[in-house]
Amino acid sequence: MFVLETRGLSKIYGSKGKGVAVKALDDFSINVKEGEFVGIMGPSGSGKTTLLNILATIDSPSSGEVFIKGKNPHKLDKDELALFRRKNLGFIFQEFNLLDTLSVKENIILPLVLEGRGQKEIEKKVMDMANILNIQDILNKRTYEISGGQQQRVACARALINDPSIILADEPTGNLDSKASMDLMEALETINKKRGATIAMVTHDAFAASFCNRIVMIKDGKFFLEIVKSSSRQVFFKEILDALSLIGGGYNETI
Amino acid sequence: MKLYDFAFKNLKGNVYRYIMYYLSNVFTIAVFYIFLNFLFHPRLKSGPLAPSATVHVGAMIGIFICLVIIIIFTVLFIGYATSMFIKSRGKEFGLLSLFGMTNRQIRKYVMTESTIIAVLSIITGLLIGVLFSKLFFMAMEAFMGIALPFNISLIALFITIVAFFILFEIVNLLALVKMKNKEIVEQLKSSKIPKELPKFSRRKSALGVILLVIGYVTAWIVDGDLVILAMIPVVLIVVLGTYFIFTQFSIALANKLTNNKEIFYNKTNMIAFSQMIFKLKDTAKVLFLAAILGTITFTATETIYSFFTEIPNISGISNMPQDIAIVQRGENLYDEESIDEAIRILEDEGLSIEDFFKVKLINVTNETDKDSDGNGSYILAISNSDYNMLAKSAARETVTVREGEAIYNYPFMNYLYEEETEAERMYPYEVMALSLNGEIKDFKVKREVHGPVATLIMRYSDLVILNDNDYKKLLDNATENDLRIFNGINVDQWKRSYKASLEIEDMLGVGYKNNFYSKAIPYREMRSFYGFTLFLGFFIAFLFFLATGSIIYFKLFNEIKQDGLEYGILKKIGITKKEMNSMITKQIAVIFFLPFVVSTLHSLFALKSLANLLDVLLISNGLIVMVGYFIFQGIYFLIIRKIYINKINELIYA
Repeated sequence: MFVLETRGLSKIYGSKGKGVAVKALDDFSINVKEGEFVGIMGPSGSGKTTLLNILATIDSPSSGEVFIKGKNPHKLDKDELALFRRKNLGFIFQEFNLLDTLSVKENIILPLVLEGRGQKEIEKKVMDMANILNIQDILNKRTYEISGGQQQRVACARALINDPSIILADEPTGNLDSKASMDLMEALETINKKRGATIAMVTHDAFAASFCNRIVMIKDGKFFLEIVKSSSRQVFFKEILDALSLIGGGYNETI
Repeated sequence: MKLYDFAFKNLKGNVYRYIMYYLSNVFTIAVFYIFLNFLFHPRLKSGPLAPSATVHVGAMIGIFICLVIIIIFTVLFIGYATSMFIKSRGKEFGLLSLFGMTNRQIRKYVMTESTIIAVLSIITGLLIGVLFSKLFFMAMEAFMGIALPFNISLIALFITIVAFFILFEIVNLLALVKMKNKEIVEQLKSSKIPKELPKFSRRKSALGVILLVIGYVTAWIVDGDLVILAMIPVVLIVVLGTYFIFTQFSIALANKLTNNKEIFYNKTNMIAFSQMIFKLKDTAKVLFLAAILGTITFTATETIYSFFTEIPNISGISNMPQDIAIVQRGENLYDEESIDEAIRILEDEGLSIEDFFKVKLINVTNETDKDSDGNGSYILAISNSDYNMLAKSAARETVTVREGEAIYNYPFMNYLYEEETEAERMYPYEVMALSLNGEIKDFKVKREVHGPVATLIMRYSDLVILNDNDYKKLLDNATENDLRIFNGINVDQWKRSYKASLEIEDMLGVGYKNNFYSKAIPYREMRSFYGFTLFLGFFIAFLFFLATGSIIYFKLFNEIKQDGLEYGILKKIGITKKEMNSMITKQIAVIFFLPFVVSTLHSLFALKSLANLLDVLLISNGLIVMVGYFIFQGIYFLIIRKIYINKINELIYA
């Protein structure tokens, strides 16, 4: 059963007005199974972010279709789409995107509160999340009182709390140092393994990518290659680095 | 590219950020010019504003007070708007200095830019001022009943240009000096400094509530002359209380709400309330100012409006039984020509005479009612039938007096004790010993009637009603000096008799000084005086009202970028437009109507004090004024809310 299916996605920028039309996505397809942890990698300008935005339903494709749990969200109107996102998608952003005006706990429970869930359920779920992500001690702090790594784990908790069909992560380690990255990726791995959460993550960080089950490489808006984790994370990391050197576009320098 | 070009390009590129600042400037300049233009109108120099000296002096004082208020308002408002504007651009200046612009260059850049805005504002403001001067003059004409032809005063133009130019430059310099003291890092971060959860003190919140209660209770119960004594302490207590209410109590209350999980964890409430706390903290002082400004506006409007509605009644015009009265006495006693002439003048003005009364009165001395020197008091005697004739036309009770008896007529309605007329006697004696030319006769005072039956007479003397026979005996004994002939005239439309009345007054000359009265004259004077005050009051109130709104607007839109970021996050998580609008509406409504509610409460208690002082009921006046303001405020709120929502949408859907 695929949680996420796309068929022939294309996105063309600047086609309506003057100037050169740019194909950010060109007949791209990706399928994600339930419980999978998929990484999407590619050099700058390859169309990763465009893809994620379309999957996140905050941008629409020029052609092609997206199905999340069998439903095509791009056929919904703006408000229905908002509700769809709230119920089916969880987001983790590079900039954490926590609300400064709310406490850590309030940030986490936000999706549930917006849904109008009961208090008992909210309390139970938030404790659950906090335990998995190891943020019990900071629940009552303000967002500016905790570190970047902690902020990102809070964002994870928020993304996960309403049991979304799929979690979309956009460069989640982009603003973190290596220790915090490690913690975060381990947390995501836990979520994926223990709770069976489906995760699609865009990243250009090979280390972060090595936590995934499968990596899809994208280049110039087109599918480039796919590698599947077969043995340990360390081996997978090597494989990813090799694949990146193949894809070019600056990744060579990392070796 | 020169610095000037840079400043100009920046201005052109960021029009939306400058527009509100510019509009506030234009508005203030326009108001200032309109008023100054009125002040320099040739009509004000050519002669008094009204035929009555008191009205003229009153009007001039009113104009002067207005001028002072407008000048203070202008300086404060422009100062506030400019400092807000400069503050909101801290990051921009930080970047410029980071790129190596010297302080001097930045100062020059800002001054160039602000000079461009100043010049534009002054030009637009003056154009609008000139256009609306005509409207202002027309309103003045209608209220004051004087002719004010359209006129553009060059002196006013000059003063406005120079004053505002200097004001802008000084205010900008001051704002820049303030900015200079900040580190570049602080400036760069100025819009991104994370907000700490607002703190509040339980004790101060409680103090705020207690102070308000003390102030309110005092205002409610204090009566009579004590009102004036209590005024200043009460005002101070309430102002201090209001300060704590906004800076402490409101945050405490919002905090309390966030602790109530039932309410707080209910859909959009969580975000709306928690953002509200920060907004309240940020705007507390502004809201406090807005509330005080609002209170002044409301109370002043209510007071003036109350005077406008109440004074004509209290002053007694509406109680005058006849519209016009002429008393013949002394050498004018037999001057029938003047009376005929007066009637002719009235008829020439197109007024028809409805009643004409001619009544002979005798000035006698009441030896019973002696003053401290042992002299009796003067009282006018009227015959029973004459009294009844006047009383009937004035729709008052007619009476019957038997021989040897008298009825005392107290010529004022005793408002306070109207229901106890019988019990409350204004004449404390049982008898009245009336003496005329050496003859004294005692009359038994049977009862007394209250209320005037003869205009003019009531201002000088009480009446004693005698049996027709007794009256005749008295008349036989009277000399010409003791006689007063009262002529009372009713016309069909007395409010139109102003011009004729002035003509009659002229015709009668000094010989009739104090012996001629026409309702229309004091009515017109009062109407023009209170009308003028009312108009100026509304003008200033409108000014304050707009200023209050603009200050809130500035504060609100200063942070819109930050709010846009938050709503952007929420949008990604998934909130519908409706939910977002409901959050925004809740927040803006609180910021908008909180000061309004506080001002309304304050002013209603102030009005209650005024009512205690004047001993009248003014609550309906207060409510009328409040409803008027509420409608304005509501419209203002809807507009601002619409702009705000559009702007947020623009930010997050861009």
